Amino acid sequence: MKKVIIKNSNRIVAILVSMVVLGCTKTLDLTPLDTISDASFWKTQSDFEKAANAFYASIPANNNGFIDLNADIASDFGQNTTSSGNGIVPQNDGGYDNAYTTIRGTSRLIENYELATDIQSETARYAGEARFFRAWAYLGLVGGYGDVPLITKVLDIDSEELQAPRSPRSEVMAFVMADLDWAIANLPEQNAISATETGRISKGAARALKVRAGLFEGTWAKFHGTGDPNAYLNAAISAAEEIISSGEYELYTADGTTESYRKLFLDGDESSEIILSRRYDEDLNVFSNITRWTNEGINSPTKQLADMYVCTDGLPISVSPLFEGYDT
Amino acid sequence: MEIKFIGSYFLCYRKVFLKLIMKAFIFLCCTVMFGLSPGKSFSQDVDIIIDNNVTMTVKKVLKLIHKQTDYKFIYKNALLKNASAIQFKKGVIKTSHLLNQTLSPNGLDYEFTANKTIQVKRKVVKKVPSPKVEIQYQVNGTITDQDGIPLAGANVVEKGTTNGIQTDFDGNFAISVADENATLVISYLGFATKEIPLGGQTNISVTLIEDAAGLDEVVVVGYGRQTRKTVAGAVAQIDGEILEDRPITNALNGLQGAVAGLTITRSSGQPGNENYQLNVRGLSSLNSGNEPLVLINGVEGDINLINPNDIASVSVLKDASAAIYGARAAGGVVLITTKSGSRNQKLEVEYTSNVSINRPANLLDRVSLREWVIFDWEAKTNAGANPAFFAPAVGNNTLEDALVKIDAGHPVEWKNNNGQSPILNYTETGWENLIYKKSSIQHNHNINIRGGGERSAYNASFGFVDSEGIIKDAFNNSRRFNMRLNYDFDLSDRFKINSNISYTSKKDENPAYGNETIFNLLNRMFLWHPLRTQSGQYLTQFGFGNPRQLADKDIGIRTNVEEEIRFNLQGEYEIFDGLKAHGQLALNRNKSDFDRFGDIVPRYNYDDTSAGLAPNLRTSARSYGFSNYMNLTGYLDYAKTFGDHNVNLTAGASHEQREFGGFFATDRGLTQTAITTLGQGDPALAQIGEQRAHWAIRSFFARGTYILKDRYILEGNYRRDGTSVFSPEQRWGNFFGGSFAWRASEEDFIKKLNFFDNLKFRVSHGVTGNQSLDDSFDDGDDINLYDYIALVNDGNFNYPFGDGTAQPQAAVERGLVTSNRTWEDLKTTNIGIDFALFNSRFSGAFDWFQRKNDNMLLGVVESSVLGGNPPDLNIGALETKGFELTLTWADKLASGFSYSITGILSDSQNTLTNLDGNNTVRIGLNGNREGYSQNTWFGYVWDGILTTQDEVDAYKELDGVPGNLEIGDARYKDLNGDGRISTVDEDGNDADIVSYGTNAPRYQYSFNLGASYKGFDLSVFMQGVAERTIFYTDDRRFPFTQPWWTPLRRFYNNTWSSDRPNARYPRVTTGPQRFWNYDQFTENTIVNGAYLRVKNITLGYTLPQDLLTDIGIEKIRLFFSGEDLFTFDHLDGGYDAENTDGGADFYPYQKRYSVGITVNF
Repeated sequence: MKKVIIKNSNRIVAILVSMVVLGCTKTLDLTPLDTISDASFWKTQSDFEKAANAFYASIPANNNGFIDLNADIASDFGQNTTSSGNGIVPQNDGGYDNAYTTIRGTSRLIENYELATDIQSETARYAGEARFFRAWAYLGLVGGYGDVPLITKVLDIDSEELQAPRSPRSEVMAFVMADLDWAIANLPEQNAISATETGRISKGAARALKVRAGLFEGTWAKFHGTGDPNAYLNAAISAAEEIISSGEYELYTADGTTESYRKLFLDGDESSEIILSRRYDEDLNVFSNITRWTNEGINSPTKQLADMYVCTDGLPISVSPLFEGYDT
Repeated sequence: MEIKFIGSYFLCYRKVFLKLIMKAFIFLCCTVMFGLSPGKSFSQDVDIIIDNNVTMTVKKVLKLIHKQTDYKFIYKNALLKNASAIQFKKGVIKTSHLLNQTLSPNGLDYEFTANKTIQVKRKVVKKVPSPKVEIQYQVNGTITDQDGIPLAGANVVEKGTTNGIQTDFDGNFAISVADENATLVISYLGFATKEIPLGGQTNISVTLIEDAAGLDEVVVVGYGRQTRKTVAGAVAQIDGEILEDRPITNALNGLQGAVAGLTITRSSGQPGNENYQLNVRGLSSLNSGNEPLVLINGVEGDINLINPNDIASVSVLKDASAAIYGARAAGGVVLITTKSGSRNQKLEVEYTSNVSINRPANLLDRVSLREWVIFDWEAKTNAGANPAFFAPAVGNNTLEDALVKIDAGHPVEWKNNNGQSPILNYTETGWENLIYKKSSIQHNHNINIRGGGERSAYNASFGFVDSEGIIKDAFNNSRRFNMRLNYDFDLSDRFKINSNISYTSKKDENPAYGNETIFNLLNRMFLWHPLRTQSGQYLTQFGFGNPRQLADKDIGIRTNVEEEIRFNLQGEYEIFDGLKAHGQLALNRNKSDFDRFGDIVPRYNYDDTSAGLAPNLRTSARSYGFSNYMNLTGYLDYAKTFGDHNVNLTAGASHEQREFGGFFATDRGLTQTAITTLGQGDPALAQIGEQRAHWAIRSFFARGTYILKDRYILEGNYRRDGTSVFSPEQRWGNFFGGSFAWRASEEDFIKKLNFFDNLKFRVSHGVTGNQSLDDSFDDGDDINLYDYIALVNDGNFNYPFGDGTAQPQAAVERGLVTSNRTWEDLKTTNIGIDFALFNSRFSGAFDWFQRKNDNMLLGVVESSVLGGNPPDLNIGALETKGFELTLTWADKLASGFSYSITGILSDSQNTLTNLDGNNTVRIGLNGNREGYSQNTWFGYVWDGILTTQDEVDAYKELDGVPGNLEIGDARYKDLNGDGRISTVDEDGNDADIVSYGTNAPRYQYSFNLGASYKGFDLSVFMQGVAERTIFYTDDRRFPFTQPWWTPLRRFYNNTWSSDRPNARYPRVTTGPQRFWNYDQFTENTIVNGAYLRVKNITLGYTLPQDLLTDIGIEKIRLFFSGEDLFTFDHLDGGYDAENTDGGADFYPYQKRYSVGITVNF
């Protein structure tokens, strides 16, 4: 036996060495064992559903005292630096970065929706949600910056569009309206959303966003002399009429005429007045900190906000005869 | 020091093999001619008994001798055919005489060819060529070592000829030389070669001295071994001896400061989890990859798990010589070789045992209770806050009230105040004594069994270490069991096999909520916070958890078991003379099992009302990890000498792969504590998860070494690596290294100086790669294992659709990927000198090196419209320069006293040469600032304390100075005079900040002193750092960082007040000014991090041999050894000099005092 091994030892060594040298180069192509690769994703409806779920994080939350400090409707306990003129323009804006992150994510879903032709009927809804969020992101960008780069696809680190100049707001808003129209066409009605899916974007929500977008851009165009105000305002009007005529929504009245408005966020948070809300749940540990912030005076309304409410006859206080002065 | 036999054995004692022998005869002749022919020395000149008067033929005589001794004979049959028989008388005759008598008359002669083999041949008659008679001078002599022990088998050669012999067992030799003034060259492995000019002497005795310069030392380099004298790269090797007989549990602890250029730091004193970091020659990259590649017997491994006693040598490849390991060698390569048995060695058993008492060093030095009360009152007064000790509820309205009660040892005062029960205790609770043990025990046992025969050798070792931690009455210990078996055997004369199997099992037990939680609480507690409530429960007041409660054993336990099995099979086959084929197969399997149970911890106020539960759920968690690794390597090795030229070529290939991962399961809400296995808790709260990954690397490597005249050495390495981590276009990399060395000491012009025993100049340059691999499962910026593959993160998403009972999931893109990135390349250049003088008593080495990382991975800033973080790209650059100096003086005096001193000094400094403009400049530690070293401190310039109101008012005029400064606060210079105190001005240039040096240790040095005399031996090992800048950044860096934390003693009476106008620090206050005063990183708060620590002192005594021979024990050695006993530093009160981040919240290091014994059977 020993002799056999000795005689063949040349061969044994040769085999060992060749095993190493000639081994399949393929074994260097390894794919992850515990993480899905993008190439194998986007194959089923639930893949698209999961991708769409991620965008819900971009619905504005009140976790840290979010208030619109720039609209003079609320204030925290310091001086409002915008109104006082002491504001310093920051070098970075998380809102800008986050908006483009959302735009990238939604564009990815939409691109993959176009490619996954065999399941398009089931995934159209999620593509609609993606377009909704993309439109919302651009709406925010236009509101904050006016002209912004219009990115319509997923970029790479060497894409030319990284250096793209700002596109005029009219282009961006046209894109927003187009996205919303597509979303409206492909999203389900509110009553078609099952109880387990409550909270997902509905046709009505997309219409409502279209109303906001149209109203905003229309009034901007009207008072800044740019673009076509009537097109936007009319779009807003027709979208609003669609919401009303759909019969999906009605005001919350269960707590009586004087209390229902106040208690909308307390008792009426599942009522049919809600077109789109950000949702919280104790068991899933999803909380809002709004009560603490309000308690500490971070979310205080301004006189401007109070003045914006109309009287019961539908007229603003500056016009209505029902307004009896600030003392009352 | 072994005697190596050159040439082959031929077992032959039957005529059947004669033919084979005749063919081999020529071979034999050749070996004989090369001057290593053994002489006529019988190791045992045995008496041969001749029973009767008898006449015997030569053959019969030989047979007789063979029967009575075990000598074997080789002869040509023809020679003896016509030999005449010889008459013998009955009696006893020595073998040598018998042979002489038998062979001489027959014109025959005999000669040893190997230890027990004698060859009979024709007597060679020296021809006298001319009437002139060549007088042969017979020279006899004895060769011994420094202890007078004869050296058997030493080579004695007449210089310039091939006339040589070997000494016999008594160290004697007899040689005939042509000239009475000839020179004899005497050499023996492990000893310095000596040349003795005879000068007419015919009887000499020579003492050989051990080769301190180690020129013949075998150095382990990548895929092979070289002799120290011809090593061309910067390779440092130390013997495993320095790890023996020390109360260390981890080999890395023992290697601290032992090798120039190898820095080992630890960040915790927790037994079994000190978190050692190795580094060779400083910074390689801002990303990971700053640790060297560690190979144990050629296979990657974890030094933390190896038994320090198993290590035979540690070799560090520091420069281009590491290039043969290619893509993972940028941080250097550490090659560890474990002990193996020797051939022809009788069975030896060695038992070593070591018991040590460990004491915590450097505990926090906080002020006493009385001092705290005074200090706190002053701080609050200065802040304009109402100083009071929870008065009026407790009733102390003045400082004197409280002091009187403290001095009187007043009992605890408390008031029940609507659930918030303020309490004040007037005596210190002595928390340190409640948590820390005064001393803990560690013991260490090892058994080593070794031996070997002609064709095999083995070395088996078993080791056990048990060390206790420093927390009292808690689960706090670490145990490790090691087993290793190394077995070499020769399958045939050409085929050698070595197998090395090892098993390690390590088990750590720790408190349920971790050690850090306990130290964190302990260091922040009020000194006087009572331990218990009125009725004896653990008190948790003021939001502090009770560290004693969390240390208790009944709260739960964390157990961590790690096991490793390593199997390493190597084969070496000699294809033909000089060409060998090597193969290696290694399989490693690691498993870890982490088991944790934590009980509910109830909290109580002093009046025994409940303060809740924290945590409020029992948790039982388990996580299991594994790692499987395989390495298959094959290479050919050709070594040949042609006259003056020596060539050595190595070429081969290897394939390595590793799969690893783990899963965890957490069970919460158990309702009882008796059974804590998984499944006992609330299923709705259970969590599970798993991770798994793998990588593979395929490599080709080659090395060629050419040595001319044993003094000009040229070497080149090459490696080609292909890794699974990068995209196919980027996956292959080539790494080259070349070095040249000149042994100047062999040149005649240097020899004439008679000054240098060794002088070698070395230069090398090479490229190694840094894979910067993030082998963990974090999503860091480092290269991850599937770097070029776009991945999707799919996991739980907390957004409640519907009624919130279903857990939604969301999928997001896991980071942007690029196919454009690859290894960082480090170009390293090294220039070195090795020298030895004064009979090699003084030797040393100096190396200067430079490393450039020209394509360091760096974060890239792209426009936000990209919508994500761009991946790091290879666009940065970093340069590191430094030097290493090692000097040794070793001598042995005639009296037998021998001593040695070794000093090592090394330094490295890095500069971040290109960060693509990604700079954030701030005060404090600047991790990355272009043009500076990593981790450079920047701060303001101290300008004294504001002592008058005018000064305060003037200073407040400057922008950037807080408006609430008062007298006693700090002032900093406005260096650039722009009327503002700021870090940078509008153009981005430095405004008022300066650099204070780096956090990295500079000029690291160590001393190793050893002495031995008549059985006693002493060794002292010291290690230190000459320059380092530290600023404390932990929670105790200034008094009252949080107003309720007890300050350190170093600030007491050291802060400014009107009574102490010359104090060093600004006034103490709990107001916001304290950050302005203490957090600006100036000369006022700088700490000198230089230190010298006596790492080890060992005193040993070996019992004299004669006492032991009757017991049957070979050797007994007793030793006392202490570790980390003394430190000389500039730190005060609780900080340890070795702690690299300057914080004081870590598990304290320990001083160790031990006694031990080694017994060899």
